[in-house]
Amino acid sequence: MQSVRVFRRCLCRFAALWALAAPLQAQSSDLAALRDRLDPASYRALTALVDSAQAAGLPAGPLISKAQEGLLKRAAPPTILTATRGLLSRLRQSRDALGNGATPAELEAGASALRAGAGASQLSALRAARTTQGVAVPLVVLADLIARGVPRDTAARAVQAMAAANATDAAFNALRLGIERDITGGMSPAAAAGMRYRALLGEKQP
Amino acid sequence: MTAVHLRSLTVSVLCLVAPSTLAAQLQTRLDVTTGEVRFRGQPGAGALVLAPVLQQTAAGLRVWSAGQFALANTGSARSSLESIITTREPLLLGLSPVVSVRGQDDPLASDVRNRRADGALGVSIGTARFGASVGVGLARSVHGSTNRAVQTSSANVHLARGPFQLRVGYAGNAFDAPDAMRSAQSGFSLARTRLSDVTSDASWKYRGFEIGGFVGRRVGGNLDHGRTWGGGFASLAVNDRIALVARQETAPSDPTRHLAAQRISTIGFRIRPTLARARFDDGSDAAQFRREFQLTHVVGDQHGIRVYLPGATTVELAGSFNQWTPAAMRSAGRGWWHLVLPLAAGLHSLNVRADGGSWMVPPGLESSTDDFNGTVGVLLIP
Repeated sequence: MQSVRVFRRCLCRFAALWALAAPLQAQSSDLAALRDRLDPASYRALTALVDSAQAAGLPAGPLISKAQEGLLKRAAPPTILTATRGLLSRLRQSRDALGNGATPAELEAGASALRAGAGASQLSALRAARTTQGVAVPLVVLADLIARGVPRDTAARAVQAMAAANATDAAFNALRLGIERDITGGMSPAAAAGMRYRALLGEKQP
Repeated sequence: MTAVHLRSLTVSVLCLVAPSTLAAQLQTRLDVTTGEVRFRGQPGAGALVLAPVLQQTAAGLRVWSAGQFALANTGSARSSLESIITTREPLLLGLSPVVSVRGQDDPLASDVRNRRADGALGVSIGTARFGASVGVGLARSVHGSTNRAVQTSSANVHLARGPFQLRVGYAGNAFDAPDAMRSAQSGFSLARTRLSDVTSDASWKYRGFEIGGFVGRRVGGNLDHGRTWGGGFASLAVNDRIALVARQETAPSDPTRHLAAQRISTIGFRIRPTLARARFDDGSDAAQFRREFQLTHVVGDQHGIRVYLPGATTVELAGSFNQWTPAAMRSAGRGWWHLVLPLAAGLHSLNVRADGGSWMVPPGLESSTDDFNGTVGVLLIP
């Protein structure tokens, strides 16, 4: 009986180690695969950025993915490094704004929103407004709205108001789809955002 | 301007294939250009060229039809219309019956009409990226004092890599033609004549710009002119529906119909009219709900991605989930493309591209700016 318990404990530890090591191993192989696609100096710089992210406890996967994306889109190595460096910086800002408890998806979504033009204070406000649910979806929607031409402050107000009203992820997606349709229909992005979030909140709040 | 008798052949074929879904699945394109047509040895004349392309996908088959109707104000007209039926992507396999009607009024005598009907049966195999086809057929004169019977043969190879497309083809014609030497010796005499045309055309697309060209060389026959020909075109998209088109081409002579070589220079526009909105399997309207992007959970971390890109021949998907390595999506019919792949929980970035064009955000998906002067789609897996 004792040996069974020891075996189970070992098995659980092995599984936990494997679960932790697998992504790191995948990242390591992904990074190694870039060695042949980048010049030595750029590869060393990229490796340094990845090490820096890991040392800071930030997800390194997005950095490697950004380099792969740049290669697919035929960007020059200096452009790729600039993009990767910028992403690392935004991931740091994102964690500072969202807190140490933020999930990797939230950190990435925050970095995406920052890249689109949102401010770090707006990320913090969103975090504060949505305490019981994750903020990944609202941040994705925020980045999308800004990318579609909705003024930064208008988009942030809309998303924060919905978060404060405890709107669901589905409601955020509905907001984005509605605004996209209104913009396609000829409405200005600002007017579309204002009208849509008021309508959604009107339906939500009695 | 001469009126051209447009044949109802194409519509008839399409109706036979899928009468109930014709309007919903028909994709169309029409080039309307105007310019000058110049027959060999004749002064140039104004011309209007209409070039429609129709494609219908239904019941596992794809019917492709293309025509060109050149109307010249000298009283001459040239028309051609052909349809090809193949299986759908990803594997183009099957018989390809080709039916075409080609006609041109004699440029020197406007009261002489000249029509030739072609029937051929071919076999094609391959994918949208690479494939080949061969076929044989018979052409008959249906109007005019031309050769009554012409045996035809053809072979084509096509290659598509990213924005480039290349096609190399061969077309053979065998027919009885007057033999001048034997006729001089022993009266009117016919001799078997064989013409072999080798053609090659290529095109390249970048965003809304497309450029292409073709060359041809004729071997055989007793010809003193019209052995080589070629041309080119360029188009620039104004929006999703309209593009500007310029075209310059020389067309070879056609001894089977006693037609001289000609040169056509035109400029105009291309329109892609929307005949009907695409509909989902559940009957909902795509344009109304804008559900061009669909994500379904299959099993474990396997997810199905469906993208609505009507009119595309090939669609590729690349994203953070596959190390940004392009993966070919499979056609699901009705303009939909799908792919099943593992997606771990978290935030993913992705792009798609159609027909080797530029990478873009999948329609209907959240987008964000990338760091490479473009945009990227963002997908969150809970």
